[in-house]
Amino acid sequence: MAAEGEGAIDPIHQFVIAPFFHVGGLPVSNSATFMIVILIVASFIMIVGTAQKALVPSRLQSLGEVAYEFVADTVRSSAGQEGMKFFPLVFSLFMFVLIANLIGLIPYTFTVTSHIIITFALAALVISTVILYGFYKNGVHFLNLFVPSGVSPVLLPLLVLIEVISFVSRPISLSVRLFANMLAGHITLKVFGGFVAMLLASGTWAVILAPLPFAMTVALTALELLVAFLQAYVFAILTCVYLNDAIHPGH
Amino acid sequence: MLRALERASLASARLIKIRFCFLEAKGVNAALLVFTESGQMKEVDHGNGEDRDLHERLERLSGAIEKKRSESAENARKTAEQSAVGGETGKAMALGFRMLAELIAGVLVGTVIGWQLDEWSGLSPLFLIVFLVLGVAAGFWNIVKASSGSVRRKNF
Repeated sequence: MAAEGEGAIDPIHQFVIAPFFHVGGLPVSNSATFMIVILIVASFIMIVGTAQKALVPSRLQSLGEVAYEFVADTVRSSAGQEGMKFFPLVFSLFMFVLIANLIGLIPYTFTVTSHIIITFALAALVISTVILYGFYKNGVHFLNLFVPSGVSPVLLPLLVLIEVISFVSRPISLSVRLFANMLAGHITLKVFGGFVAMLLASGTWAVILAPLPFAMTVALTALELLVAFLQAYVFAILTCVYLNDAIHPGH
Repeated sequence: MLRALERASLASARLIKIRFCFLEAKGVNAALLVFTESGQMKEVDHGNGEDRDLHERLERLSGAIEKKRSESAENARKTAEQSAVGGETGKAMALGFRMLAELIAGVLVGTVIGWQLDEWSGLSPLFLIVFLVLGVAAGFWNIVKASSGSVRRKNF
């Protein structure tokens, strides 16, 4: 996010949810607007990119192919061939998170994934898929997931309890990680951008220091670009790891 | 035999044209396709020597493509992570964030469960303390699982 620079830094302001435009008197928030934008961008890449099916792919087509191959490799390597059943889910999640993160890096846009309710909704979707499919596929044996093997019966209840807490904490860690990364990154960018504005507005010799935080902002933007990709990848790969537990429960 | 090869390659060429958008085509098919497209298959019928020659070349080409494909898949992932400024730092940060999130999530879940049980049972600090400890244990257990799982999971 670029610095809007009103003198005082308000790094949290960029996350405020406000009506963006109105449809027939109904307000549509900036978050919802950008979710629609994400949907359009993702659909555009996949639908238009695969429309030609050219032997020598166009740029858009190779973008779609690279995205497909990347996610397919991730799913196969961490959930096996059986995990490809869930490929549409993982691919949708990956594309949504990736495009949300990347769009958020453009100045004056809104980062959808910087709100924990959004990331938690995604994580809850993943975990409910894991639980439902786990019980559907394995029946009661799915509960073996919580019973570590080769443990003395005395310690077993304690360890089962810990395993259950560990399982319940999965959607939370999944959502907190993505949300915290995006939130922290954008706040840091805003703060450094604000430094530039403040130094320039100070009107004293301190003006010459302004390029320093500006260089930091540039470096942080590059880092954020990496984080945007990495977090989408981590989200996808952990989804696969958890789905793998549903496909093959037991330790 | 050659006829079969030619037919197979033509079929695969058609198949590629249909399904190329998802790049499921193997390196071998691509190699055969190159041959049909460049029109060299017609010359093949002339002699046995050329047959063997063609075979060798095909084998070599498909082997090379297969090798390159697996290599590039590996490289693509590496470069994607490292080409940006501070690739290593970003990766380390992602790992750190992951571990932090695991620990926090464990403690948080333990606390909430304990708190709620206290509300229900009225034994105020008892369950909170017990489940806080269990939550910390679960958080560390998450970290142990995350860091000592498979190699893939160790990467992040």
